[in-house]
Amino acid sequence: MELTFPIRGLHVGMPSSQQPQGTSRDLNNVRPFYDGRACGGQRPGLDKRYSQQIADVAGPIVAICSVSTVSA
Amino acid sequence: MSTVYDQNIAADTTTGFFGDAGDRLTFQTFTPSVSYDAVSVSLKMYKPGTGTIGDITLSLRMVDGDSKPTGGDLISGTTPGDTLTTDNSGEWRQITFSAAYELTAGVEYAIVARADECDESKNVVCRATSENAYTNGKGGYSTDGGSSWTVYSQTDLLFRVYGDAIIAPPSTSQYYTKRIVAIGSDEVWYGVDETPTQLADSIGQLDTTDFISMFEAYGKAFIFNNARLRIVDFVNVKLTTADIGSNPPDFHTILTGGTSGAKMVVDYITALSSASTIYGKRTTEDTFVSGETVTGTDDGGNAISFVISADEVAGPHWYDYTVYGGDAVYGALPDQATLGCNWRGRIILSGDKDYPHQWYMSRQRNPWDFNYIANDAGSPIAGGNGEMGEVGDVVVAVIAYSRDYLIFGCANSLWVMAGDPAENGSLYEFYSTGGILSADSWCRDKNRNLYILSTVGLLRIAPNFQSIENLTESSYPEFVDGLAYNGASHKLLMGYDRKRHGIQIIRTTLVSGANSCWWYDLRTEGLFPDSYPDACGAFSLFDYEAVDPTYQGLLYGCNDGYIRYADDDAKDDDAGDSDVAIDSYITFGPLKLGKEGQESTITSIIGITTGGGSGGTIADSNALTYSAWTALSADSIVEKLAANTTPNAAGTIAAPGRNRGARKRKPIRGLYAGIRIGNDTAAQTWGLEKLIVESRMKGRVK
Repeated sequence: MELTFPIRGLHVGMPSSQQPQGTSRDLNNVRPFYDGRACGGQRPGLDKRYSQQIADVAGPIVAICSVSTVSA
Repeated sequence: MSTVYDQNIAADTTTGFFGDAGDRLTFQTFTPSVSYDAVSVSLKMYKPGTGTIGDITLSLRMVDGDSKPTGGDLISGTTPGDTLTTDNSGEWRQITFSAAYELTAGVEYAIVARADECDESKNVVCRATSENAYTNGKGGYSTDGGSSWTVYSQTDLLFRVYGDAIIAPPSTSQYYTKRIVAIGSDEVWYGVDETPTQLADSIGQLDTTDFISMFEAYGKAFIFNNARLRIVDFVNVKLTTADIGSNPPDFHTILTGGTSGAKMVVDYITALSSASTIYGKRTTEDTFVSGETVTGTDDGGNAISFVISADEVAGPHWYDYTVYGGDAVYGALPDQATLGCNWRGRIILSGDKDYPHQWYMSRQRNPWDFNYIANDAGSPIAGGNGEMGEVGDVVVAVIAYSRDYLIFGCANSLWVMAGDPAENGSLYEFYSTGGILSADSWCRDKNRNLYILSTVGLLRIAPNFQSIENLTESSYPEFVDGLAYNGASHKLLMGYDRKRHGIQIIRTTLVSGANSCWWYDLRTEGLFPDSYPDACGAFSLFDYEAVDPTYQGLLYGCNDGYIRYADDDAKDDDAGDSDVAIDSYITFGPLKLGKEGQESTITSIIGITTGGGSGGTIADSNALTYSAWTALSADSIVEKLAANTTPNAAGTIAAPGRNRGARKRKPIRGLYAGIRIGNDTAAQTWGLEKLIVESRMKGRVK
């Protein structure tokens, strides 16, 4: 049998013997699209968007928004 | 195609020359009438007699006030001088510069000709005009290698300068600024690029352990942090006065500085009498100056006049959110709020812990007016969500879904305000089966579908409420139970990733950053569990529509104070000082190996990963490990896959692509099989083309 990546993700709603096609009962840190194709693979890593740490001490960033202005 | 921009092609009745082992140079100046990119230049030249010329260099230089070359070459090019004609009528020899050089209209430049490799006493002759026939420049020469120059009295070299039109860069919307604003460790930071800046006035003015919300409106960030209702104002300038006078300016009054002539449109003032601070949008380049008298006319036609005690101060400003002038004539804000948004130009507040079922709306287009007794189409208004005669459901989230709809996500129901409440709008319950789990457990996709993580699962609400689907109802019926969300100890977030067309769902433990996450892929309609290092545990998500594409995308406000993003090139998670390997895996199965009651043997497993080897256009996978189990029941396989211990067979799948010897031969027997593949090695990633499992029927189960 040929098995491809379970691109329909987690499915635990059926009896074990009737696992739906394209699903998995256990998976972690993966994405159905990898390198721009629906072949599946490891998820992208998280990287710093800004090298600057918010606040002088390490503490969670609890809110983010953006503000636009037009100057004279 | 380059064209001639400057030239002297009049009748050539005389000559100039250069050479003599580089000692003799000649030049011709010109002044462009328009700016252009010079790409080449030509002189009409010949080489008399025998001897070596070597390379001829033509360059552009600046000139001094006497039309003599000065400074080094701005740009230059060469041509082999020994290929010049010996005919004394000369030839036009065009030399292309090493790069285009932008010439400015009205500035005089010199074409300088030299031949450093030329034999001593040997020269190249340039055809020229006499009697100052060329009026837009001067010809001349040097006999000391360019140390000093002499201008001809009447001679001008024949020349042509070729160029291209300068293409103006597209407008950069230079007056438009979009900045990110973030809150961490009880303070606010903001910035446009790589280096967010601390807003010093905000330090210690917030409590980030308390509930908090922040949103954009009117060039400001409104922050609701229980009793701490604050504003970061990026759009206004600030004036201060010791006495605002008897007629304070009204909202949107135009004020003029008596000395400076500066003008502003008043936005907000802190007091209607005595000392006051005035915030307004300046509309002139002139700025307000200390000591000047500022005047205007209020809405009642009364003259406004006060003296400012300091020069205007540019933003960003940090101040408390109050009604206009802090005066009861404009009503009163709730004492506390933790929820907010901007809808139809109204500031919406809710989350008052003493009145959690209540919501409050400012006047339309005026965030400072909460005088609910007004009776007009823009009137401030307050209310709750419930049947008449009952206390309404607790408001958990306020969602500015569209211009027409404001959604109140409540603890046990979902309500919508359709249309403006002061202009025939209606408020009704559109979902009574469940409520929203947290203030931030919702998002919208690019198709304007709304997603809500509700008490009954992940809901998708189609535009205009055409349909409501529970996306996890069949695939993960106990999804909400599995979340085990507790508002007192967890942060629960949802964010739409427009680059990958999916939804990130994150539940983070407040005290540690430990997290349980899910990715719902909207392309395949599948749910995928994730986990991140505690340092990366997200406390906020934001879909940033930055002006610079570099910064666009879903941002993760993390436990360690950094803002992160999903980087397709990153094979690990950045955890601050170190990178952490991503433990990624999938499982296949339970796979029924044969007919009911018939055991089979897995005879081989062949893994084919992505990539075609070194180079190429397809990303190469790293190797994978695999484990395989067999059992007599499907549930047993499920348990073995979850336990991930003592596999019946295990090994490595080499990568990339399909490798010789990839067939894994270790027969294992059973009714059902389960296979797990993955990788948990630092700096590695993987993609799967397919897995080929071969089996052979055996006997009946005994």
